[in-house]
Amino acid sequence: MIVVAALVLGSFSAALIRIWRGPSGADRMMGAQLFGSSGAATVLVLAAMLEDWSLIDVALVFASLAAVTVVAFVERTERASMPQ
Amino acid sequence: MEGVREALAVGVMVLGALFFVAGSVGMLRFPDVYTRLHALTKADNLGMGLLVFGLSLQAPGWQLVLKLVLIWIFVMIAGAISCHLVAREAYRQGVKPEQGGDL
Amino acid sequence: MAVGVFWRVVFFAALWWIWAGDKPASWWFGAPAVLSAAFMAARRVGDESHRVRMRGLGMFLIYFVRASFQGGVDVAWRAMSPRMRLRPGFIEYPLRLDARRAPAVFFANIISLLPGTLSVELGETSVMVHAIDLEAPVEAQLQELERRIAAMFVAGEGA
Repeated sequence: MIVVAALVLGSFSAALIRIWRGPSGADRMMGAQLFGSSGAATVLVLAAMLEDWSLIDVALVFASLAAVTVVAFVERTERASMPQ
Repeated sequence: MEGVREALAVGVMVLGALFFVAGSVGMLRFPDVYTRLHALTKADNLGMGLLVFGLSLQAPGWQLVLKLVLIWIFVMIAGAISCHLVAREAYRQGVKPEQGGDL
Repeated sequence: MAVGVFWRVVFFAALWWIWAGDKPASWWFGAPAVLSAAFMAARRVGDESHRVRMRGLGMFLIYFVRASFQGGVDVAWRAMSPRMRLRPGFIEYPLRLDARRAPAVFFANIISLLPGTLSVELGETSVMVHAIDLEAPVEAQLQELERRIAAMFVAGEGA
């Protein structure tokens, strides 16, 4: 179980590296998306480890917030690059 | 019997976590936005599916299993849609894909 | 329309029940949320309704689980192998489904979860697809997916 948590956290840090290195905005956004999904995965593993199943709701919040962020990003850049 | 189920659950979850790692490795190693999106979307989808499956084997009560499956479905929908949106945005802004042979 | 609203209420109520559990007090929030969600969904989609064949849906789920497994394994393998085998590029895939309708949107989303393909843009008559390996039989795979989706949906009254 600890192994699972460590692996998922490793992927969590990969998201940070991608956000840091970029290079494009789309790459950073992808990092943020991975942040959301691996964050949700981390919380799910924690839920099983601690046998505290209410943590599952936290995982859902992670997952859905990441989705909203990506949509907002695309909307914004789309508007910024739209010819008048 | 209980021991077998426990072992199976942990095995499946380790496998799922490995897919998360593979997806992240791909996201760091692949050459351009599009190929990175491939790694992110598919590996995360499968990794999350396996994690949810492993957790379902341990969950007390089937209502919790439904909830877990719902999380997986939401992550999958969010993943597929945001992957498509990021790719479309890159494409419209004229980001060229890496082409051809072994990179 | 009325039938559509009824099934949407049932659907959203089931979702709420899964989330909030069976505490009766949660329905003080749940009932308005479920009703407004059902109303919005019915308004948004309007007369475009598609029936789904149960048998087609079952077959599709089996196919989908298998394909997303292959997709994950495939991309993980490429990422972990020391020499990454990538031959990426765009492919324009001519659509047989009607691009303005739900099945085509569904198709475009599933493409990204199949091995080696990623939907980039859904056009009027075609989908722009990014393939990670142009030498793989991408076209045949997309045709199979499209055929399976067409078999799952029955065109509604509006079609």
